[in-house]
Amino acid sequence: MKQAAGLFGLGLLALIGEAALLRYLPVRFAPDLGLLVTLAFAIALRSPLRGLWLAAALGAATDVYSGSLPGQFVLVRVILYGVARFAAARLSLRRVLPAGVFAAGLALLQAALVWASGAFFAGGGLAQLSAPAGVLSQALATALCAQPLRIALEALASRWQSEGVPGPARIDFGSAR
Amino acid sequence: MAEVQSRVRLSFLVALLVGIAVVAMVAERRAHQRGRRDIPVWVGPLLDLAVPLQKALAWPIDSARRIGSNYVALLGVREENEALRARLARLDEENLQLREALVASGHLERIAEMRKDFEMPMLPAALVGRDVSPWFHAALLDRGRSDGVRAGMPVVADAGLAGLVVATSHGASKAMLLLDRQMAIDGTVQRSRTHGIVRGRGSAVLEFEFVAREADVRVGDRILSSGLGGVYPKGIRIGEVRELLGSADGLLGRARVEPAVDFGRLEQVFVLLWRGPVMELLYSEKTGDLGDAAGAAAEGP
Repeated sequence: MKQAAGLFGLGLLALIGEAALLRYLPVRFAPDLGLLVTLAFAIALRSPLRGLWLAAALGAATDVYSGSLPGQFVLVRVILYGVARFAAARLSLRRVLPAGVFAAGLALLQAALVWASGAFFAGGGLAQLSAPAGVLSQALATALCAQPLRIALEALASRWQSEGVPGPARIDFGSAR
Repeated sequence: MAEVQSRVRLSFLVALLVGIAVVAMVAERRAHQRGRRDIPVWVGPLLDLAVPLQKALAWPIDSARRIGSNYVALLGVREENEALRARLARLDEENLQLREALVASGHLERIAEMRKDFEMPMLPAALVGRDVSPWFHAALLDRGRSDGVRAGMPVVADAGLAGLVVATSHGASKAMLLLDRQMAIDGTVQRSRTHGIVRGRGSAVLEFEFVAREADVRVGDRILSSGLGGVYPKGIRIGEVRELLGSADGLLGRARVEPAVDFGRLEQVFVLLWRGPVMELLYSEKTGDLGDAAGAAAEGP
């Protein structure tokens, strides 16, 4: 529980901090921290249930701070968590290059999912991807930050794990490959 | 056996979360036709939590920028002061002449009465956070319900219209900026009084749609809010026509509009403590089926 609360708090802080810094930095140059934290959950957490809850909760928080439809980022992050979890079990996402490439791919998939869900649920109101170049540059920024953020989050998660409650949410750094 | 149980639980959780997300999106869609409420209870604390954190995070950057800009501002202050004094004297003279003319025509008293009707209270607010997603253009303001801010109130900056408050908590509010694709404002060309709809495109420019037949729209024309949509007051600057895009079907003309507000540098805004009749209906406590009213209003998110 302590670990889940800590990880959610960290993700929320990343989201709030990013929103504050976007006053000075164009969004196309900023990494998508919410997405990276979701990816880190998929790699670092052994329990898929806990990771899924956290990804959905962080998606709901993104909906609060964004102009998206309520529930839109919950849906998108649940799907992305599933994709990331599937990939983490088969690919070596702990290495710099695969992690970066996968994070960039995940950012592009997120763009496609936001576009598709907007087109479907907002009646075409959000249907046009207005800035493909912005989406690409944000995917690149996300790729560059993937590895440092994953390492930091894993370190914190393991620390909370060792101080926290034993149970199914143990971190197993070897098993997620 | 344990693994099967775990898989069943996981599938159930995925279905539950997807179901909740879909229901939330469909409910939001329906809220455009039926009266909408302000945010759910759990959203308020999240908005309130963000404001002090974002202010604390931005404080060192804001302080450094303030010191830098104060120094730069001091460099040309003498020349600027002289130019402003000369301009003030010219405007004083012009003002005097206009007052004389108004008194002579007997209109001054009537204009003073009209001004009382048009004045509306404004609340200064700081923009503390921007949208974390590149597809949307929302902003977090540091004023909320405790300051009198309500969903449906327009947000303006010194240069013109900036957006609309869409959600409020005790000490914070979320505003949708004009650039967002969900935004539409009933606008009018100041020179020719041509009416149309200004839409956000999700990028740095807006689009003005108007009935092409007999329309008189030129590059450089200033677009103001018309007040007809029942969401924004009349006469607030929206932007300037930069390019005419022509008409695909011969019916609707389109023009690219540069917003009056520089959204990239937007830090300080004002919330108009006023709600238009359509927003009053949509956010009122006693909401019935407002399909017609919401459908008739072209404006809003």
